[in-house]
Amino acid sequence: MKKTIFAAGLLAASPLIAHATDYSVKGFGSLIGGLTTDQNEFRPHVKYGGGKYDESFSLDAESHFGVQFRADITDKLYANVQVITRGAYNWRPELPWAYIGYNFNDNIQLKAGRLKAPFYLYSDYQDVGYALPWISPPRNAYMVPIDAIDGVNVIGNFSRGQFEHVIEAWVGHIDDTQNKYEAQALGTEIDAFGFSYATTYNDWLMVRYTYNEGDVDLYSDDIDTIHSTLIAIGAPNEMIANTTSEEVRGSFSGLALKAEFDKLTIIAELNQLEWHTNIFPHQKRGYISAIYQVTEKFTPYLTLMKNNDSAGDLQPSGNPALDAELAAGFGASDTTAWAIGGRYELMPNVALKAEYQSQSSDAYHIEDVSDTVRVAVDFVF
Amino acid sequence: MKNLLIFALFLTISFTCVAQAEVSVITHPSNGNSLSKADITAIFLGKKKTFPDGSSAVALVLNDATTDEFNTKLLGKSSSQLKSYWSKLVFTGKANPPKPVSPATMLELIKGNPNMIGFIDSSSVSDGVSVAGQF
Repeated sequence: MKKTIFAAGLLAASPLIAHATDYSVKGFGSLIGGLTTDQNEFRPHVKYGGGKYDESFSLDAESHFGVQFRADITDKLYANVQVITRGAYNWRPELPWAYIGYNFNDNIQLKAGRLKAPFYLYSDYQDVGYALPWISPPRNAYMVPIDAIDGVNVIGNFSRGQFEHVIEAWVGHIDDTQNKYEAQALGTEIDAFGFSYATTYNDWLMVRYTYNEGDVDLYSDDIDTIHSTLIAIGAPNEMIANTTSEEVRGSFSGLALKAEFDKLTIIAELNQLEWHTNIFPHQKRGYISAIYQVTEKFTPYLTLMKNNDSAGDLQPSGNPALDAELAAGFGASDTTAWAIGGRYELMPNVALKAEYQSQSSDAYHIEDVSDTVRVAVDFVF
Repeated sequence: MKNLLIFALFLTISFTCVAQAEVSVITHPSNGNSLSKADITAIFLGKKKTFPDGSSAVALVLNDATTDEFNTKLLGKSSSQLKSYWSKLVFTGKANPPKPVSPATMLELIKGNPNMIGFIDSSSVSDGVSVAGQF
């Protein structure tokens, strides 16, 4: 699969095969700054371990810039490569998309290479701030730490009467071992598959469902230490098995709804990450957001978010001190948050945004509150 | 007072006329497809890349104010809504927006290529192109 990515990159970048090929280079970016108004830290996304806000204003936590190269080789075959650089990863370049696409017709498209798993309603363009009503999608519900797959996906779309249907199916490999070297992140290799189905009625009401499943190999010193400690103290076999690092079966499912009225848009997602026979918590998280177009240029929004994480297969190990530690690290937790913000169209390709978010969480009987103010400039070119 | 009212009415009518210049959607004369408003909208929003007869369709837009007119009347979107719509498609690799050209280039390209579809202010329609619809 690495070869495919390389080939896609070569096709998009090489001027030698320029004959009938149509090239385009486009870019986007979001300069996002913020700070917390209390003493707590706020991590805006599980994916970017290093990115966080504290009491001093920071531009590094979420700011990112992207460039996309596309080559239309024939009217059906094309190559697409996107490079993103983020403050949270010390501006190291990433390849969220690098694939070759083939459009069989207006209804069926195939892609192979580096793709994004269709976990969320805004999976595909969550980094393109300009295309979003918010500074970022409510990321409490975007809880899978990785979504770059090396694989194949097929998208089919068709309309019947007032309904438009889109089905996407994918299979691939997720290799996140490089994140082993990031602060607090753990490395994973996953073989997975999934699908999503969305139907839109009369251009205003959309419902989407997605299901994805994979076997996860973990590279985590913490898990390995817990595993060997349980063996050493003679914990029950089932508990030892629940801390294995190999082929941990996980599934992610999500339900989303979007309703567009004249000036008002309601968007909601409810996502669930579950683990089969493992100590990892089950995460059930969602949000609902109301976005109102006051004028052609100004659209404020209000978002409510809730996380309900329940304990996984945690059983008594026979050692109360260890049990307390495991419950603290892997037990149930509840988080609620609300955010108020808005988007202002500064120029035809530049939007200004601001948001205030207040979050309170209760994990292992420890309450935690953080209030964050963020401002953003989103642009496309 | 009456004169003033008539004058105001006249202003309103002429203003409305200016704001609602007619847009003609144009294709090559050999393009025999009969296009509904929905077909045209789908092609200009990148949802369809073919004409109803299956031949490939390449949309062009104008680099002047007629495009805003077209966007509002046919696509039902303001320019920033449309920009946001296209950035979703562009940065997920689904499609690129139609290329903007001058009115003269528009007519030249449509005259020379049966796969192209564009639009122009109805007063500028010339020989060599056929009008698929007026809006």
